[in-house]
Amino acid sequence: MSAAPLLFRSPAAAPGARDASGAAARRQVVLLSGFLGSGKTTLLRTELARSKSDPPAVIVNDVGDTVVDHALLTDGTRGPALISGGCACCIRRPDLAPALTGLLDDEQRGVTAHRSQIVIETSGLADPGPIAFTLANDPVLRHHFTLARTCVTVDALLGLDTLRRHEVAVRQLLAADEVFVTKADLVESARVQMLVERIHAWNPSATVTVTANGLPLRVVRPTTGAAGRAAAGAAARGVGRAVSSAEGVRTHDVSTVEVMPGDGVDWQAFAAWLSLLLHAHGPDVLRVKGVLNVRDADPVTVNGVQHVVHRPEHLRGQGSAGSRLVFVVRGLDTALLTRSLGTFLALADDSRALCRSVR
Amino acid sequence: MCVLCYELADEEHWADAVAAGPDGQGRVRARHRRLRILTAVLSRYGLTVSDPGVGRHVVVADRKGAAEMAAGLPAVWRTAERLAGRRIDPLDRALLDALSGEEAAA
Repeated sequence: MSAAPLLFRSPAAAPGARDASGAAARRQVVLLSGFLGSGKTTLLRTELARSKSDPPAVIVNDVGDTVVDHALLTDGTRGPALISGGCACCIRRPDLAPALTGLLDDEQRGVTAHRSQIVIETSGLADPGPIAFTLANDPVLRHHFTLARTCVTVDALLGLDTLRRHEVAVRQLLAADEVFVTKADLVESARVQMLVERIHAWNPSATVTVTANGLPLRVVRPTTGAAGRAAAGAAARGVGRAVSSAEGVRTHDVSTVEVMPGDGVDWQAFAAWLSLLLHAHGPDVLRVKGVLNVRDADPVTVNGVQHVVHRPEHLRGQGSAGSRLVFVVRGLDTALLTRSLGTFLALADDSRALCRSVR
Repeated sequence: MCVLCYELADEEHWADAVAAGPDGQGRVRARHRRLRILTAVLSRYGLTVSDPGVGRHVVVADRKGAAEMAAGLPAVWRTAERLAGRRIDPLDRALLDALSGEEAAA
């Protein structure tokens, strides 16, 4: 595999660097999460070593008062900002905003150069949702920072067991845009493959990279093929409406469903529906993620973690492969959810016309 | 606070972050479409929705004359539940049946 950075990308390559109003690019925040001992710091150290020319700013959060990772990540010229003695998602959340505004202050005083990317390494027990909420809603931070990606490490050795035992590990996994399976050299490849399949059952929209010692071995892309075939099959059977199909994966009480609402989606109908769904069932909607080809505008990315919906971004000048949404829900009827979205989208005149043209 | 309407500046909702179109007319049309969709849903609960043209507010009212302003979609649903005295659930089969029927009749 190439030695291209896994966590960081050049800002020009990152989609959504500009918002709907065309405002200047905000600093891209990469949230690095993962359960205790799952290899976050090893991955980050390898990545920082690779990005010598354009180093990102680093914020480290640790549950303990003595921060070991700080020592591991300091190279004598620059050190990470620290939030210790609790998780940035709960008791140390008020410290997160000052840590980020401190970065802005340092830039403006000329202490540090402008850095377009920031990595927040969360504690192993932190839930990424509330941290994302702080970024999206803080009156100062939301103008300067945007959550680019949530990267989550899963230990190849203990990952399955951790996911079974610890709910926060599942929450971290559900929030992930990219998953890094670490320590893959310590277990046989069949077990790694099983873990990758398990991860995609939980979170089908995540890209999974299998790594060892912070170096990538192989990349497994999101599972779109099966769902695409299901959509085509449903449309052929004449049941394709505004929402044509869904393929669900069910694990314990958590279900994953992929929905393809077609093109020309009415954003107002979708926004009304999603806001009502979150109002009525917010705690049970663990993840919403996808791209919508909306009417009269560029495609829009939709990204929600629990009750937090990130500011939607337009994918300017980029073609989209079609509208596609993934929902991870707990205890909700996914068939009903799909029907509900279709019904709401059909309320908009143009979606109704679209349905008629499909029929 | 807005000096013209005394509206407290609240946070922008994610639903308002998507471009409605290249011109001001696009925003007006989007606002009108949102109102029509809210009306279609909330009429099932005996409520009306109107747009006073002030900020992000809409007025949700019941048939007994009670009316409340609501800024943004989450506030609309909260206000509607309070006025209707019922839970509004997008996964309620009865609601979906009613909304689908309306679509078929149109």
